[in-house]
Amino acid sequence: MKKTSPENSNIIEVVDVEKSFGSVSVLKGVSFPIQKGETVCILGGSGGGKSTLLNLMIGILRPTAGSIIIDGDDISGMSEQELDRVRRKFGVMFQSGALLNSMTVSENIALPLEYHTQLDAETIDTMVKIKLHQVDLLHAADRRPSEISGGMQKRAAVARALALDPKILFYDEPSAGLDPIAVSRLDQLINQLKTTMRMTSIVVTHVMESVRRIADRVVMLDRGRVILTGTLEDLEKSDDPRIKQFLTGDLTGPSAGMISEQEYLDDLLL
Amino acid sequence: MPRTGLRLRIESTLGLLGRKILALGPGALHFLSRVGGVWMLFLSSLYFSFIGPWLGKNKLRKQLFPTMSNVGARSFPIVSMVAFLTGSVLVLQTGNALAKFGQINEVPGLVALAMTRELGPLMTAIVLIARVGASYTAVLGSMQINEEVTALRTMAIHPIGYLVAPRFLSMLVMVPCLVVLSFLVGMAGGALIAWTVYDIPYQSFVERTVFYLSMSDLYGGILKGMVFGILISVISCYYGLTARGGPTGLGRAIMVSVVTCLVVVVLSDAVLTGLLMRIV
Ligand SMILES: Nc1ncnc2c1ncn2[C@@H]1O[C@H](COP(=O)(O)OP(=O)(O)OP(=O)(O)O)[C@@H](O)[C@H]1O
Ligand SMILES: [Mg+2]
Repeated sequence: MKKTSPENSNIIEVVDVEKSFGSVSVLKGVSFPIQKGETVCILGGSGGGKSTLLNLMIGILRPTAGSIIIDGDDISGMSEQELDRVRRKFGVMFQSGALLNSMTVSENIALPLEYHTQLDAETIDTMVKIKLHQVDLLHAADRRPSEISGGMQKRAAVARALALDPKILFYDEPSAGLDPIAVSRLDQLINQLKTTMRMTSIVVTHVMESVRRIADRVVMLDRGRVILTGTLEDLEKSDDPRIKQFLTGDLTGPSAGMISEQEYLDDLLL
Repeated sequence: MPRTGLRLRIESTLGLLGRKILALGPGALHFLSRVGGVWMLFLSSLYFSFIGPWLGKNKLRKQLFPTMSNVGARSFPIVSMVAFLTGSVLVLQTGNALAKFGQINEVPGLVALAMTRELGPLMTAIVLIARVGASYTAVLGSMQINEEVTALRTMAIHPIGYLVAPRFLSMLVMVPCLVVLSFLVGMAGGALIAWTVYDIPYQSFVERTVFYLSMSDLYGGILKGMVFGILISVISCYYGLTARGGPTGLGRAIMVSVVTCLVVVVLSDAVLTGLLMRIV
């Protein structure tokens, strides 16, 4: 297990990560650092490997090569048991919310507390209320996930991810399927967590408005390669035609659904 | 010349055979991987039922009683209805045949043996495959498809410890109980028909039953119940956890799970019957 030096402020480091499913190579040499307390957005077109990258960072998938260091621990070779220790340090909000449908919202948030702490029922109840208040959902505490709106489900999922007071939060497409106001509300929540708790957030998203509101830095993926890491300004100023096209949503450009003959050959021979 | 013709024919036949066997390959591999998967799930269910909770790996207390009451108390009405009817029909059928030979007094013994050794466990298992197994696959499958299982993993909650172990334990404990109850209800159904149709008084029905039955018949039935409970819970949870491909995939997983459970239960019933006859 590799330990990084303590003065290193990178809470996450992705180093030369490759991932293939069978013979299909999805991520090709992806590297970038994430610093403590910043919000990093992972951008890229559909099929670019964003979800795959996220699943690698949370230890659901394992890289074919390379390493992923979270708070000093390389998780790429860890057993599921060792991983469980690291997993206490981060929370994940899934695209669908992924709340347990058989329980109420407050029971969902209580679950990690019941499972991983020795706290008594009353303390857990208080903590659940605090988390619910944080995401402005106290009024929906006793409803089931299927009885609340998509935006509320996602905020409840954030509350659950916050239950064990993690240092890091991962979000998979938080804005998918939400109306613009619900999206702003979620963005506001992400920003609040950053200022009040120095939360490190990693957000996979397509929505540029959202990126402009929350991102300190962005990582742009294109067909399994990082084509840009930098600030929002770097992104907006970039001359890369692929990034320009992503920002404007043009149909003509390098990602017109057709790849160039040279790239086709490269992919074929790889 | 004819020899080469023969050789050619043999070679082409062998080649065809080889191709056929190769074509079986992926299917066979798939089958083996499923068997391996179910076996692994069985081992980890054992671990998370009996060892994990003591080592603090998982907690069972909270879910165990709801799942147990679902398997046990709430399955009891349908299990007893099926057992009652099975017992009655058994008496009707065998009584009809035995009466022709003047052996109507043997009916209770026959029914008792058939219920304890065979029909009690088997009918209970079939009811539970439909009532409990299918719902296990459906619930775990929809959780799998809805990313709930992945979410559990990221919360450092082991899905087998949290989802499978309580279901496994409930079936392991409650199926034998239901099997014993099904004996009693089945005998009651038999006694009722014996009394109303064949005029065998209730007391002599009980007497003959006790005379015929030995403890080993009961133990055999209970053992079968435990084995069926294990098989149904592990197989149906396995197909739930491995469900893929949205609602269509889920529907398919439930169908495959129910059919697999049925086949495996009937097969293992045959094997167990053979083994028990040899041992006892
Ligand atoms: N389990 C898997 N098995 C095989 N291929 C996979 C698997 N998961 C993802 N892929 C492939 O990897 C590529 C990247 O998928 P991924 O889901 O990471 O993309 P994405 O950037 O998240 O796209 P989207 O924005 O549409 O969610 C896709 O071509 C996909 O087909
Ligand atoms: Mg995705």
